[in-house]
Amino acid sequence: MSSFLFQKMELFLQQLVNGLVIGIIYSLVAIGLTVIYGIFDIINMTQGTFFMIGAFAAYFLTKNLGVSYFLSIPLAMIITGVMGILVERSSVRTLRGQQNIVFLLSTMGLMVLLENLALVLWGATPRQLPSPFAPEPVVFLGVFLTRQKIFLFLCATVMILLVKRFIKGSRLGRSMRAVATDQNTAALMGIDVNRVFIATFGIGAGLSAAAGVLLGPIFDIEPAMGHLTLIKAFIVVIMGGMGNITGAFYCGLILGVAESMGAGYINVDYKDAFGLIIMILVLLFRPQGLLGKGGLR
Amino acid sequence: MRKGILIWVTVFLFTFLLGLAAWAADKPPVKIGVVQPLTGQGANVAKSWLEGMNLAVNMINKEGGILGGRKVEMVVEDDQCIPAQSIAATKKLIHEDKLKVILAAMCSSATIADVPITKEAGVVQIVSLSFADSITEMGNPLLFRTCTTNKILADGMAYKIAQEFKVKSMAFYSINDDYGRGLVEQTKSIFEKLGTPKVLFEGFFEFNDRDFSAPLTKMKGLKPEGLYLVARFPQNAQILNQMAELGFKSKLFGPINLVADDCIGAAGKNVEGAYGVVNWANELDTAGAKKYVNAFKAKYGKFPEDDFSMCGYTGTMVSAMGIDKAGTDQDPQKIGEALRKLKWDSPNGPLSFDAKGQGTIKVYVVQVKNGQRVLLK
Repeated sequence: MSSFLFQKMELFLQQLVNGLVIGIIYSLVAIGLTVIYGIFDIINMTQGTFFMIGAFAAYFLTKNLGVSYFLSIPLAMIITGVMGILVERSSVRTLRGQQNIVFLLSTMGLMVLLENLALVLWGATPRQLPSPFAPEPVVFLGVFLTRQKIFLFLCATVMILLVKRFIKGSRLGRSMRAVATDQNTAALMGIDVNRVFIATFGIGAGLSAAAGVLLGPIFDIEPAMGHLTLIKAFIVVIMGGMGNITGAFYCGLILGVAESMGAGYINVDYKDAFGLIIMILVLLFRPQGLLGKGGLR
Repeated sequence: MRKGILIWVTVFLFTFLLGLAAWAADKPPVKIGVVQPLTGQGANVAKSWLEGMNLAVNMINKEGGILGGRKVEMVVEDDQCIPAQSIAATKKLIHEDKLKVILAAMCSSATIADVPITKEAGVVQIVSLSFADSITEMGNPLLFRTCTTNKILADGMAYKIAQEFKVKSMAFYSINDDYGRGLVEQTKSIFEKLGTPKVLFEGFFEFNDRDFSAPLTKMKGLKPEGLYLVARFPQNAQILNQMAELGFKSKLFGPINLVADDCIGAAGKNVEGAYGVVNWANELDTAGAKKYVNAFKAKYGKFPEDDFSMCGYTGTMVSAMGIDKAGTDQDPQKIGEALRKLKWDSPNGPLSFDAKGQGTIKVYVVQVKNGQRVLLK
């Protein structure tokens, strides 16, 4: 009997860990999305595309240029960050003052364009981003984990903490929060709004790219890999409150664990439905999000 | 006046002869339509399939073509395995290209969507790589299937699992479409009839799923002796690799996809020992099989990879033979009649069609040993 219970416990822990690993990825992408929403008040459809571009940039760097995987993470973030700045320049800044739906369409158009570009360059066949770690799992308390997953979790957590510190403590971060609260007043106070815009898109794209590089060796990379991630990031942003970084962090983890537990203990076939059900419930009963709407809190 | 007429007659005759000469030198090709997922899920399978198709076209044209020396040409459209795209592609081939024989499609759900279109237009549809049983039950008199069905695949494997390997408990994990659900349904019904093995788990995933850890963890807890896996590449390899990461071991069973080269290449030792029910094995040595293997090796410098190229080869050959035997590429009824009477030594074995258009196809069981498919006697 006790071994039976012990085994149940192991499975429960395994599901919890599975959920946390995928959840932190949701958090990373969602934080990028929520930061951009907080500053611009727009929904950036290319957030999933940045995730894909980051993974492919790392693939190119490691496979074609022989860069190590660890070095490819910051490099891919920088490359994708620059892409993000270009996206801001091309399809956000030029349309300033337009209605929200215009940005939804312009970034969506860009998403389709960039994805098809990736399709032309790399084809639809999934590729594997090589992991620097041994594929054999580490077993701890009956929970199986690969080293890549452990690295992913630690690396993502550190990045999220750094971004939070940056926005809270640095000068540019303070400017970002000021712009998020009131753009015009911030500009009148002498804050360079354009600089804030550039930084925001750079950070948003970079975080998504990091998620792509970290997840690449676990799930394969392919041009369409950003779709599901984008949907999940939307759910997380709505759950956590639009523009709320802390909310996105916790709700990413909550979503990951809810999916994992839902699939493990309720019904496997409705794995993706659990997140959507939570989103609908949040919209019905707490539309400001679980942690409240925030000007980049 | 008479001189004028003479000049006109000469000009007319000259033009006529010129036209005749041009026609004799370059007879128009016989065009056959193809709907396949060149991109998206199934793109990898379609690549192998197209290899087989090109081999067939090459062989036919080298031997002088069909219908008295006309070359065969394929018009290929991409359907991405999406039913709506497949309908659009099929309609284009029927109405824009005016083709009367169409090889459509690969993913069963797409093929099922195409059947009403070809039925309404009254053109011949050759199905060479879709296994859902319902396809030949949809009442299209001009539909011919040159590949196996879910029922044939299920029969070929389920009895072996229950009676020969004596597996006591099974889990099913499958792609959520007509192919996957159909195959699971058929296999499960045989298990129920036999009363063994016990089915502990049945789960389905979507084509864009990449994280299978939750269902696999659940299965691990249930400890099934065997796992029946219906997944296309790359999902099959991803599932097998994630199984290893979670420390979940089970005897593996599945259709063609599980033991295909792409899956073996990406899953490596994690697919070792898996049993697959297939249409093609390199060990087959019928006359049709030998002809196919030799031609394949001559063209591509390697052995045929898996079932998929054989299916492309068979479908293309059958289409061309139907047109040739009917003596026309414009009359679908005549082509249909010719196909109903067709008897051919296909690589899989002797092929002919029943009243519903289902071809006689044999299945074999292979096992992955040292990264190679080995035919079980």
